Amino acid sequence: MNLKQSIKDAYDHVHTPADVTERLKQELYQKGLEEENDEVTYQAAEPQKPAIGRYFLYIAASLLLCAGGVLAAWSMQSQRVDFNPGKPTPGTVTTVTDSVQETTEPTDVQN
Amino acid sequence: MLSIQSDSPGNAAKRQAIRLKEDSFAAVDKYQDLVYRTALTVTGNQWDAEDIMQEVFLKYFQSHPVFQNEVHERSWLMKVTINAGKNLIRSGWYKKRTEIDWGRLTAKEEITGAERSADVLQAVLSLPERYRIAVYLYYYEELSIREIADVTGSTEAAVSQQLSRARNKLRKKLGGADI
Repeated sequence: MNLKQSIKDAYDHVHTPADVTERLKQELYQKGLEEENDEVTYQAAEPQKPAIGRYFLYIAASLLLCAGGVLAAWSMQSQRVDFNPGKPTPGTVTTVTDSVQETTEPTDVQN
Repeated sequence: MLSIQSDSPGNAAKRQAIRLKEDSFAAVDKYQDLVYRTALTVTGNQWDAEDIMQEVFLKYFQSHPVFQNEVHERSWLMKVTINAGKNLIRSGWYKKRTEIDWGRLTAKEEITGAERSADVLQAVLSLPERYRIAVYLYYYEELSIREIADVTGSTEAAVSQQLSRARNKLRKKLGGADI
């Protein structure tokens, strides 16, 4: 008998003990259960998709914010006061003109 | 609130997990002897071989490797088994253990064949680790020298040398005339 055949015969008689196989399958089964439990926990922790009501809430909140912004802008615009140091304000000009007119009128009368 | 749909990703993952579990069980049935024999060859004793076997199949189960074909799958299993066995042998606590009791290998549940087969197996397992792995892969698994080099992570020249030296040692152990 040659070496190859001797070695083949020797190893052919080596088999995994049945109890080892059973234990291994049990272990794999337990691992599988643990993995499944992990997946369930993961699914529970996953954020849910927002419902349709939430979309409306987001839209309403956005509209309110926009409206607030527009109101604020309008309010600022209406209360704006132009400040031009070189030119007097319209009210003041009228008064000055009146006073000038008042002061010039007697001069004309004298002439 | 939305309820979980029947085809939700969670259910698909569950189905996938069940399928992988079934595949792993089928792989245990199919490859248990391959892994056990390889582990026995590397470690030299059945107790460590059982531990290695469990480690290898757990790795197989958890990593879900994808194989091109059966040869690829066998090669992966042999490689992982050999690496796991080598890691065990080179670990600090393993080196501190008492000498391997070769008598355990001839226990009835281990070898039920003829005395001759037991002697040959014992002779192979008493070789140095590298030699016995090369002998097992070459003579029993019928891998080429190139394939052995790939599985063991060594060169073809080194494998050839290991085989040559292993043959000489086996002839001395078993008696050169009948091998």
